[in-house]
Amino acid sequence: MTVLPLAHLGHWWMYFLYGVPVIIVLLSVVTTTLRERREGREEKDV
Amino acid sequence: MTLSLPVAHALQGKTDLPIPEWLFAWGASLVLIVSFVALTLAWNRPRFEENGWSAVSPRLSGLLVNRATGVLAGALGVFLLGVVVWSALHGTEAPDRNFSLTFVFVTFWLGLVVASVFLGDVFRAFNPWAAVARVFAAGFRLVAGQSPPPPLAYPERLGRWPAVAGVAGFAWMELVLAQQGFQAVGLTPHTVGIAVLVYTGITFIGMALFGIDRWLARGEAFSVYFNMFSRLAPLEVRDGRLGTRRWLSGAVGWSVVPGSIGLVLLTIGATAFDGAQEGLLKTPISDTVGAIVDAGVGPITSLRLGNTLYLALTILVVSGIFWGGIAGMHTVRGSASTRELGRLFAHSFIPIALAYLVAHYFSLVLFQEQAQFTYLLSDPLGDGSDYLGTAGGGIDYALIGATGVWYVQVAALVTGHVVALVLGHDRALATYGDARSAGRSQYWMLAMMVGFTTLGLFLLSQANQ
Repeated sequence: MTVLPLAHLGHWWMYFLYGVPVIIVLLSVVTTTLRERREGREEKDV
Repeated sequence: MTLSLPVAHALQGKTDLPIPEWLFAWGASLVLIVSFVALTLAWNRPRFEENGWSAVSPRLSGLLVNRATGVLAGALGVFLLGVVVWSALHGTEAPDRNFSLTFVFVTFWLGLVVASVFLGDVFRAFNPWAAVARVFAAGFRLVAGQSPPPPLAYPERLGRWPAVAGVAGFAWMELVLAQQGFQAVGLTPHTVGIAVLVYTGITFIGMALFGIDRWLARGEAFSVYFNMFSRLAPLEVRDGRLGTRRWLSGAVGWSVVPGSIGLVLLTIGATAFDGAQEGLLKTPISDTVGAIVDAGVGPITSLRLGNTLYLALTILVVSGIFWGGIAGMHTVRGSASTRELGRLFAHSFIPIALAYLVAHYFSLVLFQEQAQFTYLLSDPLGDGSDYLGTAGGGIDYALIGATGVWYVQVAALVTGHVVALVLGHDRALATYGDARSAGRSQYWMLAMMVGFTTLGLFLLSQANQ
């Protein structure tokens, strides 16, 4: 029997729901780190 | 844990939760973020670097820690070791009716963790191998007039690695050898008895070669394992005197010894695998075992190879999260090397190891300890004896429902990770010197904590289905 990939959508959706907080925190950490680095470089240039 | 203990985790589907399980992961993450912000704002100086040990009154200390209590505790440890070996080798092969399995894998392995967290390094007093070795050493002193000198100096670069190997062996026995399937019958009491005797031999050899105290501090798996958790406790015996210290403060500096990071990551990884084995990894393991069988390997060997592979993979994933977070921390200006940062911050993960253990095994301990202290204690061989008159006892599975267990699991994971954040933040203040850099470094710690919390809740939710 052919199993459509969509049949597993429920599982992947569940993985995504659990992963949302991790993704949000990781994105904030990365953007904050990059922003602070940029600000540090700009301060140095001034 | 699949030791054929009745209703290992005693969990059925939770039908009466007010919100979906994944929302608990969101809530837990929010608690961690709020805790992180609160720490950044209000915790401005390191408080755990000096653990402030102070002796309790000499009378109380003398009452609890003296030669007589030491001998009694050691004798009790030796007696229990004897009962384990006796029941394992001469008792019934039915795992749920034999004293040895529940004692080794629940009362000893899990119960002593809880005791260590609250009371300090209690295993040091009850360690049967140390008690026997000390009697031999005292006999030697009596005859030779001096202490037996250890023939070898312990290689310091080995650190705690021999103990890590011992804990890994124990975890493998619990999580891989105990697996049933094909003709494999899981872990039998007889196998446990033989393993205990082999480990006893190894421990005596280690103590004879490197000295009793050195081997206990570095190589004896259970001493090192329980000592790790006792670092969180407010009680500690120093130079024969009982004293108190700040909760958690004993953990600071624990992880500078080689092998310590390996031990804490192994503990988290093994527990995570136990959860994943029953849910998330069930199908992949089954598929892999099938593929190994198809390649012509015997079924029992395939079963063990497949489980060993996924156990190793889970520990690698846990280690990857840890070292990924540490590498992120390294990007903060003024950071030490990644390796050094790992050593400086790994003690923050002891509460996570504890949280994973409590979350995963709470129901097992709650139910199995009822068996341990009733029919297993009174009928250790499972042959119908009734030494203490409690052989007719049973397990009350209605003591707590699946929903109650779920709330305990969530609370344990959240609390453990908040405590880990506190330890990490405190260490960061001491390491980086200024609050700003310390805060920046802890962004990465926060990401790791959120990762481990959601992973833990996800594994539990999958295992509980």
